[in-house]
Amino acid sequence: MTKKPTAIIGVGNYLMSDEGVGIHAIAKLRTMNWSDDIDIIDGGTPGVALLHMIEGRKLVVIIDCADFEAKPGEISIFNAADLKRDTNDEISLHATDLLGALELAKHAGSYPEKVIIVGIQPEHIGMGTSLSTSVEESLNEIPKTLKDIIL
Amino acid sequence: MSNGNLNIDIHYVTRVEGHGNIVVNAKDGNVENVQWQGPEAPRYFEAMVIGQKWDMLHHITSRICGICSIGHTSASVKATENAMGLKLSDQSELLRRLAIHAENLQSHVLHVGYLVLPDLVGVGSVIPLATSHPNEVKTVIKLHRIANQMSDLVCGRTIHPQRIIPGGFSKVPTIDELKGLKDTLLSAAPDLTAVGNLLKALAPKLPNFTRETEYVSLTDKNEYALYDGLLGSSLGDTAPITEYETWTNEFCVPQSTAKYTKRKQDSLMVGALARFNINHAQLTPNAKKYAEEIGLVAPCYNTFMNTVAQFVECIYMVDDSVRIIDELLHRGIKEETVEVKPKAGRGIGVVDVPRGILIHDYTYDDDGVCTKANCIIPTNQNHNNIQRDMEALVPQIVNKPQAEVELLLEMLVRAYDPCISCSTHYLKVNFNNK
Repeated sequence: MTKKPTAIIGVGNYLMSDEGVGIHAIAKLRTMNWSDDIDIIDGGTPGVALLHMIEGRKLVVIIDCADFEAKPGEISIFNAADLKRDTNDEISLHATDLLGALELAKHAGSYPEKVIIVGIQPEHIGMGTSLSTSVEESLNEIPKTLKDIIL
Repeated sequence: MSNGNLNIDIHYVTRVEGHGNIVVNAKDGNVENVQWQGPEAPRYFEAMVIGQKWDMLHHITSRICGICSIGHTSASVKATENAMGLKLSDQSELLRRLAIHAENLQSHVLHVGYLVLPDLVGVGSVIPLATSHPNEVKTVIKLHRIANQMSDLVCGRTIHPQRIIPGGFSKVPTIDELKGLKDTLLSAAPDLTAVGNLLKALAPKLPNFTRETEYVSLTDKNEYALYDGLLGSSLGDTAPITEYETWTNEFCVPQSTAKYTKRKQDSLMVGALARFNINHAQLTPNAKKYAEEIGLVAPCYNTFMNTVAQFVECIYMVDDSVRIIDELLHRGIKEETVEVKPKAGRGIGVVDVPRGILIHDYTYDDDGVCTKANCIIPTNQNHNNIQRDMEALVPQIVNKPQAEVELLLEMLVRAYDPCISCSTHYLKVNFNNK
């Protein structure tokens, strides 16, 4: 299967409310029209499997719940290369290793030209498939945020 | 040297799923306290499916775990199919088995390659391993990629499958796609050999620790059971899956939020080693040959050999996947229509997933709405055995340096490939320049 040069990947656990905002975002993006050279991927809780979703691409945009000590629902854009991985957090198979999987991709020679993380500050993380109000509202800004990154 | 004085308090064990603690206290060689603690908050997934309709349960439960999402989906749809009297076509049965092989291969390659090899090489994780052994890590990544491609093709996604539905599949792979997958699997032979040789070279570093316990897995007279079968014990008896509650006997202990299990002995173990011990005669010749070469002989009571049993299963799963694809190619493959008329009833679905037996048990009302659910995951069945293994191992190593005891106990836990919780790990943002 030929991979498209750009991938937008939502990650997170859909069953854990705001933690799953990346998955909710992908569902919204799939109702819209995007260029044929962009893959829109529901990455779920991929762990190291993220490696195979990003390899061979030029640009990867990862949408994830992120704690950057902002107001709930606030969106921030990070260049993955600027983020520090906690080296005490040994690689496991789940989302703690988002940055670990990216680091492994560097060692394997399969790191994309650019990896951008779109982080959304959570309001509530707990059992449930619904988002909190602030995070739900932030979903409306995601398409424009992505277009600004990609175009 | 520790001189027999240990004060171990590991919060948390690394390179396992979720959080688990090890607490050990010993004085002058006398072991005073050994605890394997599971402090994760309960997740109450069963409560989340109550009130949901039959065609949603497998989508919800597939999100419980990113590693065993095909397993949860398969157990879920099997429970629904059994509750509503749905019968699968032969084609769907074959594809379901192929899907389970994809997941077991994905998971085993991850565990052997990314999580255990670093212990055997003596580095902290796969990241430094990628520097010290770049070619080996690239080979592991290639095998993992192949397993993911297999999942993409059969399930429509790498994880959280979409095509597996109650009654069959919503879409099936084409003949050309299956031919391509077969070629890819056959091309993996040199890579499997390379990783297998590395494991053989490092296997002598696995601790020689034995403790007899009861092993439990699915078993079937016609195949190495993974997708279907009876409950089977290393003690020789079998039972239909409807009797699972008398085989798991869940109970609570103070140090763990996860339930423990036991059956005829003090504890039981599920997973690759259990399957090997019970069903080894049904492995393919290639898998049997590798087991013999590396010294894995049934019955094996060394928990650390679970990793070796996983790799033996990798060889089996590649062989058996090629066999299944050949059968599908011979039969021809076509899209099938699935019609479901919901009805009230109870259904139990069991599959043997990477870490052992996974059980879903649902009760539906007349409208196909779930009114009761029970999910028993493999690691819950293993917690009690981990505790018993530690109680047996610590007195044997109590005089070793504390750091060595800690490493051995962590390796013991990692040998189970435990999935203590399925993840809730949002990204904590820290910048390089701070």
